[in-house]
Order: sequence, then C-alpha cells, then structure tokens
Amino acid sequence: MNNGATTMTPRKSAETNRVLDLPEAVKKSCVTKLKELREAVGGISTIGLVSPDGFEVAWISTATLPVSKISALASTLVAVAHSYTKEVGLSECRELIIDTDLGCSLLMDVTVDGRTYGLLIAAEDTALLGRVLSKARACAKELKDVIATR
Amino acid sequence: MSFGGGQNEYKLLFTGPMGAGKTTAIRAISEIEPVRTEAANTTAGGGGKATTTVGLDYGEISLGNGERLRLYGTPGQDRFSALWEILTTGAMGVVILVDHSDPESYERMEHFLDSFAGLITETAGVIGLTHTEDAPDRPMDPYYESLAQRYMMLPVMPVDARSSEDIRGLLDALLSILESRLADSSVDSLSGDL
Repeated sequence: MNNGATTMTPRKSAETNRVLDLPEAVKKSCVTKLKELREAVGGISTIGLVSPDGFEVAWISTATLPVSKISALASTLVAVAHSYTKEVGLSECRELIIDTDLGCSLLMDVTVDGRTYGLLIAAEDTALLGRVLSKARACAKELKDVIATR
Repeated sequence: MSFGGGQNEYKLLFTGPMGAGKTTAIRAISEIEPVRTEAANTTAGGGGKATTTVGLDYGEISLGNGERLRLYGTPGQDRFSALWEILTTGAMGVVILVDHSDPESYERMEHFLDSFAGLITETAGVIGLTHTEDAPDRPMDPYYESLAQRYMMLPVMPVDARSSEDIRGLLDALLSILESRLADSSVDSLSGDL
C-alpha cells in the first residue's frame, strides 16, 4: 500500500486554452470589488475569485503565493463541499469556513447562470470573522452581478 | 481478495487526462451512486466536454468474498496535481485511462506514467485505452515502447469506459498483478472475484 510519501509531480504543463474565459473588463471589475472588500475589512491577506474549474479570475494578495495551485484547490474544496453537503442530506454548500491557528479562510459560492465560481478569502487571526463574513457575502453578491454582465 | 491484516476494504485510483473516461468508468461499475465533483469546463480540453472533475469521483464495488474496493477518480489536469498526491495516499494500485483517439495520446500516457511512477512502482498499474474505435489505424506500439523505456510492465487494454464488463476486466488485470506481487513477497493471496 502506498503510504503517501510518493511525490506526484506533473512532468510538463499541458493546460489548454481557455474558451469560456471572462472578458478582461469583467475581470477588472471583479478586481475592483475584491479591493473594496479588502479595504472594508482589516486583516484580509488574500482575496481571489476562481473559475468553476480552478482558474484564477481575479486575485489580490499581500503575500507571494502559488496562485494557480491555490485556485485549483479552492475549486476542489467548493466542489467537494457541494457534494458533501448533498450527501448528508443538506442542500448545496454556500460557504466554507476553515479555521487555523494563524487565521481563517472562507470559500463562498458565486453561482452565475449555473456556473459556480468561488470567492476565496484568507484573513489573519486579527480579523473579525463576523465582519469578514458579512462583507464577503455582500461582495459575493456584487461579483455575481458583475459576472452576469459578461 | 485478502491482503491480511484484517482489512476488508481497499483503495484503487483512476487517473488520466481530462476526457479519458474516468468519471464514466467509475459510474459504469460502482455499486453505489458515485460521488461526483464536476464543474463547468472553461477550456477546450477533453474534447470540449461541458464539465470536468475538479475534486474527485468516488464509487464502490464488492468482491466475491465480502471485501470491497473503493474507487477514487482524480481530476485530469495538472493544476490539480496537489490533489493527485492526496488521493494517492493508501492506494493499492492505479488505472490510467487514455483517450486513444487523442492525437497526443502517447505523450499523455507518458505524462501520467511519470507523474504516478512512484505509485506504479510501489503497487501496480494498468492502462486502459478509450475511444479506440475512433482511431482504428492508430498504432499501439508507441504505448509499449514508452512502457519499455521506463521498465514498466503494465497491461494495455482497449476499453469502453461505459462498459462495466470492460472496466471490470481492467480491474481483474490489476488485481492479478497485485496478487502476483503479493505472492512474490509471501504476504498473502488474492481470492476475490469481480
């Protein structure tokens, strides 16, 4: 049995061209919304909007992070959370809160025309979770409106 | 199947490029309603399919002796490689599915052989070629040559991912390899029937 020590390393990048990407103007508007959220709530270190299949659409961060990897994992978490909540007899997951010693991360469903984008937020432990949640929900709603204009 | 140690459930991995048929294959043989985590596909990959797996597929199949196989399907794109590593943990073997009609099918198989080389070496693997009817004249030799270059002796079998019989045949081949390896290491024997 494999013990998990094996390193899985893609040998080459083979990502394909995007065919359903959002227009640049829409992406810029999304970045603006993310900036407004960061300015409204203290302690947010990273905010991103990812496509249903794990590509970054808009991204703001105070840290140097592996954006493509985080975007892929965010879409995975959103999809797994959707599947999980349905399996346990609930409806589709709207939000996922991940708490750690150094802060928390939120993942929010941003569904537009049946496509589920993900809003991800990483906040330091100084951030007030309730305020982050409140403002993030408002931001998610605004992002839906922005994406719907594409 | 019995590996000793009191275990009665085993984990197998289905992997391969987007559009190769991993989700379909698990659905074809799973005895439970599979768990699927598909999202809208925004790329031209996978033959332009509308959705793509971004988390995992999960299904279960029973063996003839009361033991069960847990089937995990990976996303096919490189950007989910972090998940490949997570899903690989504890796997007893890997099924690599490749769309034979894809003009880059040889390279794609090599890519997955290299990316999952550790798991293949430590456990066992089989190659399933899908959509062979769409490219009847496309030669098979390059697959065997790539395997030989890597000193990997994996079965290469044409399959219809929708066919329970075909996918069970792949698993039969995989379990036979595992049985052989376990016999060589004098651990235990496999006795289950799919």
